[in-house]
Amino acid sequence: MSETPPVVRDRPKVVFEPGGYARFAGTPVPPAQRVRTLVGVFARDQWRSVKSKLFGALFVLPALVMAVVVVVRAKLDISGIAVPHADQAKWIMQLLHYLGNINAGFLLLGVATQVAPLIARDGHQGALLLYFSRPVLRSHYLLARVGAAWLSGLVLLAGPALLLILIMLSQYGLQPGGCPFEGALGALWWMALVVGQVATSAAVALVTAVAGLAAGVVVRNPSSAPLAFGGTILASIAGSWVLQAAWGKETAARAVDLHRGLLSLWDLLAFPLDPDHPPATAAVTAGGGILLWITVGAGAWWLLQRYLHNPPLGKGRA
Amino acid sequence: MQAPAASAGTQQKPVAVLREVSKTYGDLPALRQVDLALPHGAVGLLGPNGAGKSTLFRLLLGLELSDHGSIEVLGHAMPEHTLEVLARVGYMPEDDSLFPGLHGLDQVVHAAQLCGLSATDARSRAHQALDLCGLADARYRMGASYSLGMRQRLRLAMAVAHGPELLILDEPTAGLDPEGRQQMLDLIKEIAGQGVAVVLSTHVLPDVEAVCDHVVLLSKGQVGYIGSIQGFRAGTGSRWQIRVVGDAEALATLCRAQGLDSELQGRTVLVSAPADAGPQLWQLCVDAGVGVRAFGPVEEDMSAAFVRHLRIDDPLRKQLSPSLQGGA
Repeated sequence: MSETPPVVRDRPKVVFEPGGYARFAGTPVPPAQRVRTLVGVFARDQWRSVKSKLFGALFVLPALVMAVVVVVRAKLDISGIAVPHADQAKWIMQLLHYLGNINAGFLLLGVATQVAPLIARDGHQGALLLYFSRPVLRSHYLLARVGAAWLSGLVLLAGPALLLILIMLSQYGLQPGGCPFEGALGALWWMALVVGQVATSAAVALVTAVAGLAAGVVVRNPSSAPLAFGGTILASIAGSWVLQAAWGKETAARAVDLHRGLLSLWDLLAFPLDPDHPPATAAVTAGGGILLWITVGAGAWWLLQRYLHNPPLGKGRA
Repeated sequence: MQAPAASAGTQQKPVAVLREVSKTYGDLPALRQVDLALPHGAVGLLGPNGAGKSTLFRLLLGLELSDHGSIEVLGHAMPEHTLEVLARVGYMPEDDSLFPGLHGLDQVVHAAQLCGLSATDARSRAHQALDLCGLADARYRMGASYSLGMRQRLRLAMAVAHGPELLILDEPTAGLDPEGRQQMLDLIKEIAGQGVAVVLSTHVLPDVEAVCDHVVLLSKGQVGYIGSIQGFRAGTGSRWQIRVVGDAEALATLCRAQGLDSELQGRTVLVSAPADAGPQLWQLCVDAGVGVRAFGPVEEDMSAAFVRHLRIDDPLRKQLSPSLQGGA
């Protein structure tokens, strides 16, 4: 017989709390609060990865560069560098326009990589069953997913724009040169810029979020979702080139180009007080692109609802 | 925070009632005119693949609509009151699925919040549920990094965190090693012991035997058996087991003389006789002059009972049996 004691391995043991399983007898929260919770969880879900945080920083970068340019041109009273007094309002709108164009491009990239796979991933990994076997309506889930993506897009677009507006306001004051309003009414001009930027950001973030999520559910595979969304955008741009080359009409080409359509939305909503591009004129030139995005948005919403009407309930069943 | 277990009065109520429920996928019938009252307690849902177990769960959870019939869960009509019902039901799916990108604690907190708990309550209940399921040390690890057994227990914690009245478990021990399986069964027994109605679907028949009081057998979309575990195993009572002291052969001969098929196994006589043949057999023992050490219907193991019930339920067999009887 061996004298060494036998080795006793620690057996994993079920740990019971004193009292064991307990029923919950608290007060349930109302459904609206559950949707808000879902939006919060989904929004955090989008920002969890390092890649998504880097993407967020990308949106602020152009605004920071422009802010530096604004400060330098405002401070240096050197001919050729300083903005002529009469052109200040125009220059402000021009910068915001550039920023909008750049960030709309980033947004399309961000939606393709960060948003498009989300619902498809939930379907692919069986999480939809976890949601719908709990008191979560499919419409609530969809609203929360779109809401979270929209909120992120809104912050990413409007945040840098508002930062830039604030810096320009600090440099040029309430009454920049060339402002159509006199005296204290200059505040109205600035206010119109803020409202325009926020409204445009909200509209652009909404249509891209819906379209991105829908692209993911069409292919049903989260890893193919970015390609589906990005591919659709690229195909629409290529289509517009072909159309323009064959037909030569820019308005028709613009009406099939998703990227330019998004910029058209910007033209229409962002600068309601721009004397060079009054909303009525902008609506005519941008009409095709805006109509395109309204159609895409409505179609995407229908696709999402159809997908969630009969979703894949189980892992790998997408 | 804690409510007492359900009173005896509510325990008598069925947790779910299905009346003439049918569900078809394309041309394939999944459930056919099912009438079923799931009793309170721990119920094992058995049936071969394709019997309709998953469809039954989906209908109970309002994930799908029946083509015909009515469903009531916890006293509420489905699917009209799906949200009210789901807030009181815990479901552990068969699939190895978790909420993407959350650590163990957040998985359970999220699940509890979806069921209507406030953030504070959900967090407190999530800690309790993780402790209950033995995941206290792993609560801040990403759910995806858990072993299969831990993920199963995590899903159970997610199902119980909001304190459901009815717990639906789909294959809770699938893929677990013997130790993990035993832990899972202990947990389920602990929860069922607190007055929570449990419906457990599994292909592992000893699991049902270990945890459940009742069995529902589904076969080809119909209820093949509903009743107690003992009844399931005892079946029709068509076979009796009599262990004797004395001349077992004499008893066997006497039984045959009475037209009862009997078989001798050492000192045990196995007799084929109807369920109500007890007094008659007892009299035969007296007549044979043997002492009786054990007497009663043969209890099959779960597997044998399962197979026998499936055979009874086989419609082809039902169709053939009258002609076979006629031929005999």
